[in-house]
Amino acid sequence: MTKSMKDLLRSALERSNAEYCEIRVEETEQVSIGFRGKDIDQVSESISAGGNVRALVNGGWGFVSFNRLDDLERKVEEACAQARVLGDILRKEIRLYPVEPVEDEVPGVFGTPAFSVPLSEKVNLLGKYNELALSQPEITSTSVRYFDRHTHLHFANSEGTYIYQEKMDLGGSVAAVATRGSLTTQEFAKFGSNSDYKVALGLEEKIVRAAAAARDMLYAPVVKADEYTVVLSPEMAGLFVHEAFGHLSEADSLDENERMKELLKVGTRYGPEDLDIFDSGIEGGNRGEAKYDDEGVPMQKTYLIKGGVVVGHLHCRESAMKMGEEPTGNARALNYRFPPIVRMRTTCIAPGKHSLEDMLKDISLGVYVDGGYGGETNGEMFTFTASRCNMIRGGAIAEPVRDVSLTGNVFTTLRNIDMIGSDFGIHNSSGGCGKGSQSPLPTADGSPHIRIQRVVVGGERK
Amino acid sequence: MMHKALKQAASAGADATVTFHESRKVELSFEFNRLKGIQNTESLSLTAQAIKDGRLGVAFSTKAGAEADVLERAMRLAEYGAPAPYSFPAPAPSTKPAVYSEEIASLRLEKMLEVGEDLSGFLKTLHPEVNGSVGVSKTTFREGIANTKGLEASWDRTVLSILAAAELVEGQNMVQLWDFHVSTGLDVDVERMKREIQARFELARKNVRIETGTYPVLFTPMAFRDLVSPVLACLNGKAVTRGISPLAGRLGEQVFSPRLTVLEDGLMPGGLGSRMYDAQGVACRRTSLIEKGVLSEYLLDLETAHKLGRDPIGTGGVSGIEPGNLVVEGGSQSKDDLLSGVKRGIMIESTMGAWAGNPYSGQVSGNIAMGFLIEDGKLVGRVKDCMFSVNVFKHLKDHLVALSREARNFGITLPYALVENVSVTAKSG
Repeated sequence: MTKSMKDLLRSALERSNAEYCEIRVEETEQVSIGFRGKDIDQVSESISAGGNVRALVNGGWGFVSFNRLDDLERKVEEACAQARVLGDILRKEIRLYPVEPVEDEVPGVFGTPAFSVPLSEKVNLLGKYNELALSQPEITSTSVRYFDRHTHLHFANSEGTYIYQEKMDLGGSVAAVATRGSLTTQEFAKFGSNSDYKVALGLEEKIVRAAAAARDMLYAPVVKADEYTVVLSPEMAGLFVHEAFGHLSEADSLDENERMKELLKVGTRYGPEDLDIFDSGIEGGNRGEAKYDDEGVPMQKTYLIKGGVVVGHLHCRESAMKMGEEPTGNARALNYRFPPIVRMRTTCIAPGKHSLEDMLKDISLGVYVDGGYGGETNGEMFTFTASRCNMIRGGAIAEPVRDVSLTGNVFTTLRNIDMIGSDFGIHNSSGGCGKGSQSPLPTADGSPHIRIQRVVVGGERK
Repeated sequence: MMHKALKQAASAGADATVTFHESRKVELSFEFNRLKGIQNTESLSLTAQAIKDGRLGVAFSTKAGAEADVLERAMRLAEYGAPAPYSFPAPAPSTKPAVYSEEIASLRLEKMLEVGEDLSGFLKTLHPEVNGSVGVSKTTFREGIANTKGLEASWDRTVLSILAAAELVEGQNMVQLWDFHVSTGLDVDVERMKREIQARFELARKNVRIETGTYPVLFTPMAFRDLVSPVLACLNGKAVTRGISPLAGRLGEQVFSPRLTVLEDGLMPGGLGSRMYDAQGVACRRTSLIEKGVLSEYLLDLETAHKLGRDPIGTGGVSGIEPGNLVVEGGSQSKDDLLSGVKRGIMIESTMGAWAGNPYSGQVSGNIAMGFLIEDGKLVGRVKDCMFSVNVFKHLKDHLVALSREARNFGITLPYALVENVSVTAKSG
């Protein structure tokens, strides 16, 4: 199949009269399993097959996506014709950063491939997790979600590149839900991987901890709204760096925006001297990592901030050319229905030298934030919501508080990071990142504990 | 094809439903004040749900002509699936909703380009350094359903969508303003979009400080969605039957302000979610969910209707509840009247992160991404770097002052809402 697909794509590309043209063909099989409360909620399978053609003429991009793969030649012609309509209006030169054409076949290197595990085994495992969560004190309901995907992806372009990649993606969460009167709280045990079903195994301890946290939240007051010194757990700091700096480093929103380019200029200081931030597609095992991105550029580890100073950006070939920097392998598409745009992979704050005790000891009143629902940024400001928090009093973690949301200005908040921990960890979950209409794209985050001064925490007034 | 496959499923002892969804979308995008790309998306999907031996299996495919395959897989998966102590309904009469426009279906690319150029040109006039983005798209849908009880129906829908956004970066201050239009017909008023953006652009560049405290807040329809979302999550039959919704067991009770009426109308003319039947084959209809603050119905599918002993209302989906069109009814005052009645407060136009959180606690906290200070009924400048917090069970019961008569429809139809006593936390110094 692989060989014939290569020939098929190459012969279709011969119809291109564009400056650049690429085809992507993808087939994905997915299994989804869910439990809600004591019952299994859904078991489903899906087969998704389709492709797209993207063409560039005189600065205009044409893009066609489709499910029927029987007439690729016509799709190439259609995308080129569209690009020409735009190109005739624009008459602009857009060049892509030159990359060496590649011919490569990348079969998946998997620990335990999820697609080889029988459905009955997966259903049993999740059923056991569900029962465990339900058996915990004061847990009244659950929501268990699991999916795995197996993808065959073929990519070819008019420069001679042909790449086949076999990919896997899996993720899930077990939510323990506690209820008291009209108040419901929940906490999650999450997992995810791009290569090994084994991450779904042995979650018992995590589930028991999640159930205990949900129960604690039942009796916790809503946090008092104020400005606090906060200590973020590695998981929350990962979410923070994704929202607060990762999105800002995506060069497709900088390359034609002079003011933004100026703000993110290499050499600008945004954090303390021990702050390093990187985005990587090669850490190994994390959702969203692969050998090549969706323009056929090898993924790599890209430093965004070193020693508190901007050193790089995340690029596709077009943004790299416009900004005169090397492409970084960050052009990613949610699936064949979308063109690749600049996206993160595994985004991390590198470990520092402090212990959690160091961070806590001189905080008289602060908030310890752990367990995230999610976050968002608009470039200037970021926000995220935590599911599990405690007050910090007199240098120690104290009583739990609930419904904690944090916000801040991206630039000032990075400057307000004053301690970086040594306990680095990468976190995968079943969620993903959203940009434009492409969501949820698998990504991962990593960080140690970090401490930030003067963060606005929303909540109830006294 | 579909008939034969369903017949085979029935003879294999399955109670089965197949739905299909085909769409063609043409989309133009403008970025950084210039034309950027054209996208054509053709998409099709088939879904089979099969109840066999009291359990439900579900399968999806994007392959044309895969009816027999998806049904076969759904039947096989039923062994592991959810208990299904209900059956798919026999055909009940329904009507084709008025959601198809030949004018949109035949809208030419040149016309779309013209609209896009016009808006893109307008955005440039706001400020020499503004980064203007515009999206213009048209989509035609064909959807349908058939089941082993003899139901067979299909319907068409068109959607026109226009988005205009302006971004200005001045130092570390960013202004992002946008407006949109989305409809099933060609009744677009581009001039209104321009006026909406123009009216707020200069104000948005002028930052004003506020103190932490409680304020009356006028939520625009987009921002009001953040308050309505947790209510909808709690109306969801799945949350009710799991006992995690605080609205469980409270039908007939006054749970919100008498000013709040929420309904579901799957047949609404011009509704972006209108359809003849839901994904389980139940005929769509209009149902009041909250009537003058009194809880009158939940969002139900076959499973939750069965568990709660109620009739389904046409909001069943394949993977959970899928409402057609939700509507929060407006009040009698205009939004300008609401604004002019505020002595000192905030108008929140867009938020960030307010969707994240535990919907069942009713607590909503978010960053005020675009908000304006109101003084003596007038917008005086932008407030930023602050968070708002409300509890919808408290605020939509005790602090809902009024809803405007104007409403926006973006899949859900919402008015402007004036809510008092909203907690706002501002950054000091």
